[in-house]
Amino acid sequence: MTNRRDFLKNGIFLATAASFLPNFLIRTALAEQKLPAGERRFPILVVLQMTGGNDGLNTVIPYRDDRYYQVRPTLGIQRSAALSLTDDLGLHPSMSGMKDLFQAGNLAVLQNVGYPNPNRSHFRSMEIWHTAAPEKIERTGWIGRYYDRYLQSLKNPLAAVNIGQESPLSLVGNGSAIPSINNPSQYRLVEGNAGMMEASATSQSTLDFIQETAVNAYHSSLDLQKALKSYQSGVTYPQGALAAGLKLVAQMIASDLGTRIYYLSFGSFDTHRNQDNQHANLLRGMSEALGAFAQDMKQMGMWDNTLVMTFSEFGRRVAENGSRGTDHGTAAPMFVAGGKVRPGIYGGIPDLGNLDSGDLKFQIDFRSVYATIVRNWLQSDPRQVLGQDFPTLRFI
Amino acid sequence: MRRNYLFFLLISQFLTVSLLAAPAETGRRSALAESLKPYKPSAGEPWNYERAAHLLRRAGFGGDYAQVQQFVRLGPEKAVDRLVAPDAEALASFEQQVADLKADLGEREDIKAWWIYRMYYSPAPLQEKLALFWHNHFATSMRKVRAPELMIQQNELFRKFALGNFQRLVLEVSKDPAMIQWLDNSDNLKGKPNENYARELMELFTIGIGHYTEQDIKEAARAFTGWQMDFTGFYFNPQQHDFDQKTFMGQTGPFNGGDIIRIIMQQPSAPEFISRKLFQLFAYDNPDQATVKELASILVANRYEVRPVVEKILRSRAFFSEKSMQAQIKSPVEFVVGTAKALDLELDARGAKMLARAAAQMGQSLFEPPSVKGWDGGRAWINTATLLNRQNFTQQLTQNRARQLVELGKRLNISGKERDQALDLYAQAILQRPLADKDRASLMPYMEKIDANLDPGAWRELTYQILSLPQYQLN
Repeated sequence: MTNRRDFLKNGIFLATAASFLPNFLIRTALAEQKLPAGERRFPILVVLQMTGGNDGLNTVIPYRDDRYYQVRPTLGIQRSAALSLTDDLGLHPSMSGMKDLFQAGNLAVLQNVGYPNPNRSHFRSMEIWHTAAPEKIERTGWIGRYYDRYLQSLKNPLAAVNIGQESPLSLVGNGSAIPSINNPSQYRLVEGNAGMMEASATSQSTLDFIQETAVNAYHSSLDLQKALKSYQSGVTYPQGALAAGLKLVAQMIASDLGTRIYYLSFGSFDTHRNQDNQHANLLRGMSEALGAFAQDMKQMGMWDNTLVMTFSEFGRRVAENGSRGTDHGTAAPMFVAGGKVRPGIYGGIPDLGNLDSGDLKFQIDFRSVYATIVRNWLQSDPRQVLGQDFPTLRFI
Repeated sequence: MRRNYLFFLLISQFLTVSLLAAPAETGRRSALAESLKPYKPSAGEPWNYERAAHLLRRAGFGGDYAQVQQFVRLGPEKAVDRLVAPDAEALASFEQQVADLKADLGEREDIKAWWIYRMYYSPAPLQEKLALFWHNHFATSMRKVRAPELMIQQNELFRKFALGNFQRLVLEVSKDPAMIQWLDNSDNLKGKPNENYARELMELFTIGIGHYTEQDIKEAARAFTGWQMDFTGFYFNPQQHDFDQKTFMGQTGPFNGGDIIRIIMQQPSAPEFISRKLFQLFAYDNPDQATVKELASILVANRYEVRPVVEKILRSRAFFSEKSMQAQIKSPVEFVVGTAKALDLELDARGAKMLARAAAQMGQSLFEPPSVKGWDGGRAWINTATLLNRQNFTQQLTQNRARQLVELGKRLNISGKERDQALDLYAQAILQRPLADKDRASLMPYMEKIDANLDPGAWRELTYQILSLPQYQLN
């Protein structure tokens, strides 16, 4: 809510600012204005990156297919242990939180998602998912481009946020850097200094980049510290970094900071050896954290405004390797959760009889998933983000 | 060692001379890169405090006022000499000193501090800089390897081969216990190959994506079967090695890992790949093709010895150009070690631990790169959170070391100078770049609070303000 004093303060500052300050300072100044009450109901996207290559076949288990058990003699998960979704497919036994979401009609499972000519390098494949550009090396990420086109104009330094230390390529755009928040209590400036609060454009782009980030850091840290004080969740979150990250997301949503996109990464899912316990723990961590977050959002009345999407850079090879693990593969499932999701299984059952040198063939292009989210959830034009049209799916 | 160095120096000079003498014969393919011609001080690009400090920062971790002044006096050629061939006696006694420290290393945090200490005090800073480069290149993480002693062993390998033979280094790394554990090569068995090492060897360590096929990876993985480790270190397990024929990059034979590396090094993409990375380490990103080709030809002519290439870069016009001097952002390790150096602080084990922890918070935890790709570097170091961390670090450091800062002021003879001169001198010592007019104006109020006794509180505040200038983030 804007009161008269704020309005005057902002008005004066902007009038002065506009006359001689560089663009990015004007943007920051505008960000100090509180969101109008009606603006609060915008769609929120939470992206969960399962780093390392998640073993899709042991996440959503095709338990009616004997071939699955033939190629997975030590790692195969029995039908009796899996959490049944349909007659053909069940979730990993440690994923009861997500089974509950499925039953509540809040979860869509997108099967066999990938892209043509799959790359089995972690880095290249992750780069492909981040940039949404399988055929060429692209410098910006899909969310970075979305930010440039649709969020930058909101003039809110916290419009999109990475929860974690390292900012992923998906968030890199041509404009200002999207903030990364690791430990929220340290996201503050201990002693004021001119370098963080003042800036003027130079002839040098690296220096401008640093100044812009500095000014955004200062202002967004003030906003965040306010947010941390104002909300206490009624939901108990499990242990672990992902749960802590999602709890912070909930605090930020509750505090009305205007953040549209949250990005979290966790892993590593790179299970080359002795996979079973490691994989079970990772999936349990994700499933329980997501369950608690959904609960929190429901209590807050924000679940219908929230969409969670998971992805990994690739699935793993269909056959297990000689070390009770799995090597790098191709297509894999994604999950989409939220109050407004059209629940169900999209993309069918993995076809283990029709492999490409030991790997699954993809059925859904991941860019169709991005396009669906951009068009049907974020209400924007996917071509602005992906450069071309992709058929949308019906999960939202 | 010194004899080797002279030998390579001769070779590289011979090369330069012969190529210069016969441009027609070498033809367009190996046309000499303008960028790699030797740097000669001129009115436009003078040899001064700024350039000497640039050399110390890029080919090491920076220097204090006295060290930079010493480099200014040496001139560019002798300054580079000193970096590529450090004083052997000083190095030996330094090694003795850190050997005593090493006895106490058992904890993960300890080995980080041990390396920070080395970066800070080593009389061979270029060696440490390249050790960090190789750590980032063959990025191995203690999060998976667990045993700190294996990480140290690998680190010593990077130090030993810092300016040594790249082909040998790749072979040694393939047998390095930490690497074998990191990329699962003990699980790479006859009949059940694990491709992890073979893939990264080509993609990240030697030639880069686009220069090999998926089939090459499968064949190379077979060649590395049976390369294992146990508590004694590397061992070759003939039971698990696939002795059959492999076809790799068009050649067929009963290849082992060493053969694979030999064949990789015959590919034209191999010397270009590593030369480009070395140039980017010291100068700037995206060098032109002529620069890369010339460095690659030097590498090949020297049978993959790294030193001549590094020397060529450090003595080049490109390295001392304006473009290069504005091109880099300090990595967290460069930031914390360089700041302590610029402020001329005493560093003990506790201080080294504190610096290591600070760098980790800014996104660079030594011995724990985020993935086998290493740290992305450049602008990726800077986001709002890491920038807040950097500012809070300098705040804390100046607060803890206020007394030592006053000593630095006294050594610079600040009290005997006019305010504006004193400010310029102190800012130059720390910032190692010329002070912009607007920054001088914003610092002057802090300078004006300082009396002849250099009151630690006011002096600290001025120091913090200088360290928080955006220019200070540039390397």
